[in-house]
Amino acid sequence: MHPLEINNIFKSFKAVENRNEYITILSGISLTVETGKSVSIIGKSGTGKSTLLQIAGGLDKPTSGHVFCDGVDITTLNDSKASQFRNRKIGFIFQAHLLLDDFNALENVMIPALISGKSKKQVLDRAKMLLSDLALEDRMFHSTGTLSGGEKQRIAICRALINEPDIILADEPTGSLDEENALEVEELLLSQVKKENRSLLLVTHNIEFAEKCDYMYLLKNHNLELLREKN
Amino acid sequence: MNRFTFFWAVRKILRRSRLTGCMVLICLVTAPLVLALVFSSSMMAGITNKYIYLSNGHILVHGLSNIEPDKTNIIYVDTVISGSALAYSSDSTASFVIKGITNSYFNEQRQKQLTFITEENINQSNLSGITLSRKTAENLNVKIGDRIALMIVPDSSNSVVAPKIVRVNSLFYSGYDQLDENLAFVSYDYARTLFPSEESISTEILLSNSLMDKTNVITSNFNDNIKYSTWDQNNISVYQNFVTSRQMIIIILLLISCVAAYYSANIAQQMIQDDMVEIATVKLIGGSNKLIVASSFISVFTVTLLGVIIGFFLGLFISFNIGPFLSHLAESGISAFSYYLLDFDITIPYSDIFLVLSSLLIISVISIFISLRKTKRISPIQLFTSL
Repeated sequence: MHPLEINNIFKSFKAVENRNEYITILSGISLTVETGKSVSIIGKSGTGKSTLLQIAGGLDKPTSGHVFCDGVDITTLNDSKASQFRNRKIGFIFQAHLLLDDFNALENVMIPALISGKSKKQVLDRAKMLLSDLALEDRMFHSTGTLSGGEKQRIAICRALINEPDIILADEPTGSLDEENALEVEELLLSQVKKENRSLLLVTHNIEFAEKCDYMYLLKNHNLELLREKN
Repeated sequence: MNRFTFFWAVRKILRRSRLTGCMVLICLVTAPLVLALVFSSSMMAGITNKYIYLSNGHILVHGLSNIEPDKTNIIYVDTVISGSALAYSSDSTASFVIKGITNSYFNEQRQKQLTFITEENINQSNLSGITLSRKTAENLNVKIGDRIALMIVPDSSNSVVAPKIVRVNSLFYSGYDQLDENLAFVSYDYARTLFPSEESISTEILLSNSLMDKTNVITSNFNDNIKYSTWDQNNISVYQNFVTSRQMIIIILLLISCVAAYYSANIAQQMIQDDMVEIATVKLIGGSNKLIVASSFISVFTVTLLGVIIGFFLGLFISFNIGPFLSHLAESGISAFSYYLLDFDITIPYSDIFLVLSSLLIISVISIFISLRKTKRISPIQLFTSL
């Protein structure tokens, strides 16, 4: 069983101008992400990278095909089951940090664990450790409004890792950061994923970032093409 | 229920000014609701008591009676003579019921309902005395020591109609002018001369307060030949007005509480609209729809409940303090108050308050839940279209 196995995924939408016409976004995509490996997908805007990531995370349904996450076909799960599954098995990082403003940095990190039913006491140490690993120990009790973009994104990374998920899905995690912060977040994300032996599926425009992953794919003409494989 | 559910709900309560606003508004609705219920119930109870203690007692036995007080159920028994009269002063006229009473008539309970105004330095006179209400004295433009003429409405066809001169010995007021201006007191013996017919004699019976609505407990022991009527029968129009008024007040207050409940639901709806991104984020990181509904419900319902509780106590506080304030306004000459009873004991109608406030809360619960159904339609995928 792999953390993520995408089997022959097709995705098409009805055209806005002509409702009888379908626009194909993804056509027979298959991809496997192995434990502890990082995979990046690059491609031009509008080629369907984010759609593929959303299908991989159970946020969107494919027109046909299956997505297995730790052996479970997440395309067959209803909304409630999919939510529970995401909570335990998948960590998300997006271009927007999506932190909850009602909570401070430490609480934001703990939220997925609290949702899964763990007590504060059980997760406090791990949340503090993650924040320390990402150089945020002096920002733990700050409200999200007082943090910089880079700090917020690092908190989002901690939040994605708190439940020890099998796979992290990251969609342009450095897209909204300046070069210096982007580089820092890239390094921290990749090193933390390696340290915790998690798998990573990264979608990005940033080729330098993509090249740091174990596998780099190009999404072109609705399908994936392996560009590079690290030895 | 998940720990995060409460954690999130508490944060929303503390951080959302919209929720604080909701609590303040519910409080401002609840306080007048409680005030209206307490004030109307107390005033009705006050007026009822005035009628009972000053007019006919709990039970009025027609004619003389040998019923004796037992100090537990029947507290006081008083024989009275009553009849109608027209009064003439040099300036004006008035009509009222004259009640002939013995010295024991103004017992402790009746004295609580009245205030007497007397003057020590009035001239001695051979004229019989009368105690008028302050309102009647105002109408007749007389004061203590003045004389008025009474034209007695005869109680039998044999009586000769002739004016009687009496002197105003004292004044009374009960706080309820509408009752006061129809009542005057003379001594029992003098009343006997005014109304010699046996039909003018009656016996007023006062019961313990617990038997007020159970007069049949006492009357069921009466002999068949005793003719009697109870306080609600004697004052049927007043009694029916109170019953209808109370029902109308409760219906109006229920409608107001429906509007307040709808407001809570509206707040829940606006909160969902405001928190769309947060809700989608929580769903993204694994929060179920149940968790989101529960958390939003707890936050909105908690502020509604707090608003109701604070409003309840605020309403009680105002209720206990508004009487003297209104009396002061009435004394200062605002005529609108003069026909209202303003000095009454506050009685809290717990069952009515419970009915109105529990309706408010139940309707809130239902309408908040209906509003929160919309969270089901929020999908994490919206994060990518809305950002």
